Amino acid sequence: MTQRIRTTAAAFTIAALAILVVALGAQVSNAEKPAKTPTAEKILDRYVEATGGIKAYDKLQNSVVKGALEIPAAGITLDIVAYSARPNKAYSKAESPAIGSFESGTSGAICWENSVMQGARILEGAELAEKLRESAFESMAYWRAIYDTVTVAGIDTVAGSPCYAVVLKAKEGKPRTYFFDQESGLLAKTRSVVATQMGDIAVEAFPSDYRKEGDILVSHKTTMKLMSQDRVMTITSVAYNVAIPDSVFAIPAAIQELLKK
Amino acid sequence: MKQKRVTIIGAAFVAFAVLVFRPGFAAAQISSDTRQLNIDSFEHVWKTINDRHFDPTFGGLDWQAVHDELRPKVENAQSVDEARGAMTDMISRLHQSHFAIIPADVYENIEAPAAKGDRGGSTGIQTRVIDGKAIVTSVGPGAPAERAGVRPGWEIRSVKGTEIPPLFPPIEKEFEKNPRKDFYLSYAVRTRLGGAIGDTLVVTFIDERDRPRDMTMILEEPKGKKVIFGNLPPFYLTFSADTLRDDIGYFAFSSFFDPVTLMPAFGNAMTAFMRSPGIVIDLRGNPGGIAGMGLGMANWFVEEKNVAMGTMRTRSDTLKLVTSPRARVYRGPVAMLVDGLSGSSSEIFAGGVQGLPRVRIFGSRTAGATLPSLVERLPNGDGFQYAFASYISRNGVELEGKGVTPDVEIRPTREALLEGRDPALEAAVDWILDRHYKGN
Repeated sequence: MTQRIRTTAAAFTIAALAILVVALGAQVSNAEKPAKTPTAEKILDRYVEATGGIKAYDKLQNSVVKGALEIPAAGITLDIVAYSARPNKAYSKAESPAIGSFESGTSGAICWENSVMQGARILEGAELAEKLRESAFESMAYWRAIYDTVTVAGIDTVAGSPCYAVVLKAKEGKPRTYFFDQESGLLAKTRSVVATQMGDIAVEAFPSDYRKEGDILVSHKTTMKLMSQDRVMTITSVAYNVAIPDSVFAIPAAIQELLKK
Repeated sequence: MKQKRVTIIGAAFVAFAVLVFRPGFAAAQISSDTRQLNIDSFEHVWKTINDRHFDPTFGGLDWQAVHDELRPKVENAQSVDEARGAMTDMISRLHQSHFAIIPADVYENIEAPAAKGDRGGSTGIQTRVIDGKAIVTSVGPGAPAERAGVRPGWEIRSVKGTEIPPLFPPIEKEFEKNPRKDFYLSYAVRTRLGGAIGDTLVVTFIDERDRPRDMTMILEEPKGKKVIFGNLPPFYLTFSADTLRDDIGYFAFSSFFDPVTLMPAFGNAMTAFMRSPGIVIDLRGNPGGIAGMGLGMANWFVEEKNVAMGTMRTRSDTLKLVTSPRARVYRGPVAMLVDGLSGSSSEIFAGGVQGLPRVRIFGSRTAGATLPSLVERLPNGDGFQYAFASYISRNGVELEGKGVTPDVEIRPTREALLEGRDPALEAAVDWILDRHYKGN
């Protein structure tokens, strides 16, 4: 859930300010491989366990997440809300009086964006493939369905704590490196290259402030590095298995107009 | 033909102006706490540029040496102004646009309704310096200058007893080959026409019969919608949509901010103009704002997907600005009007579409201030604007320091203004009608 919101939040700010993202290198340059490193599969499964366990995830049908995205270097904060539902429906909206609203969504086949500033757009190519992958409900809990290969790149330190660096690779798209805290098993950092209309964009994210929401342990704060600048996403509420009207996931009229072209 | 009004109020370029023409602020002795905040601010400014400037060579500048030279000035500063001056000195060494220190007092009560004594008082006069004279190019409707009877084409000879023409030769000399010359010249007039709301200003004009006319005006809050965007100082948004002769559409706006208001207005205008023989987009005097808005506007008249509107280069990335056409796209000719006071996002917009077969740019060279930037607050409360990327136009030109050279260069003249004419707009209309009726 939070991974998709993080990526969406990054995209919002990119579109909002035409601010693009600094590439931060995909290698774990100073990673060490200890003698007994668990396999990547075990590290990922441990993360699923640490955040609630697969049985808890299996009980979830949908989620509604609310929060805020702050761009400190611009003095702007956007309110964000993200709806997700099995198997891969998603709708997100970020809004601020200063820059208007940015919506994005997927019906499971079509992915779209719509903003006050730039209008409506249907995603294509690598961007579409990536968005479809991310739209899978609670994709990290069901990582085997998303990623073809997972490998341990070594151990790196994130905020003073040793973390396993795991490289996840889907059939399409760039590999991602996720850093899992050795002690807690929780995700401490992600490093990914996001396909966008403007080109590939690298994003580093640092999830923190894990707290229980129902049976799931959720990161409530994520600091992202974009263009050598910070974005801070704060989650204020998470609701699972709530009544979400079908209209939330409906393709907006502006997108339907584009589909007719 | 409609007489257009271009507004010089803006945001991105305002901060830039603060850097260059910041008037003296009252000196205030500082405590040791304040001194430390100034030092922290200085270090933040230096490190931000050191870490994030798109050019790691800083154009050949020894950035560490600049730090080492100026830090003692901040440490020994006896006033906030002095410390601020050292920081301004530091960023000015880059000789680039969109680097500025914005005094903290600009942010005081910015969200409160304007009141007597607040900075930002306006006469409603817009000027350009033409042949060494400050000429009124427009007068805001309902503004103090209009009520006083000031007219386009009049010369501003003196303000509060200060002769205006002698201000220009040093600026002309210093910025002889700099595209920002027009901006600096106009700003020299603008700062003297400004003041606090409620201030009384006595201005001597030379009217259409070359007679001196003394006029007294009381400065008012500028017309338009007061908009606050992030850490930028407040500004006033104005826009207008109109129909010119032969149903040609016309849209002008004062800056690229407040997309919630401006983008629907632009969209409504474009929808209304769908069957027009041509559209004129007037960017004269527009200092810029959010670059993404220009892209969103282009999506109304560029019919192909993923047309490159230039690239942004950061220290490590090069990313394309590309179009995503709207469901209904205008397919006729589009003329853009620019001048030396068109800056930042205006230039990115114009430079992004220049060269497209249906687009032509009219007017004079833009300001060449095109660096994408952010504005954050410093530990001492000041604002700090810094550029994090450069912009390369659709035609491959790095516009910073160069500006957009119009396809058809036309400058205003005093005579035309006195006659109520607008040569750049007339040329744009002629081009549109030529294309429309002759298929050229």
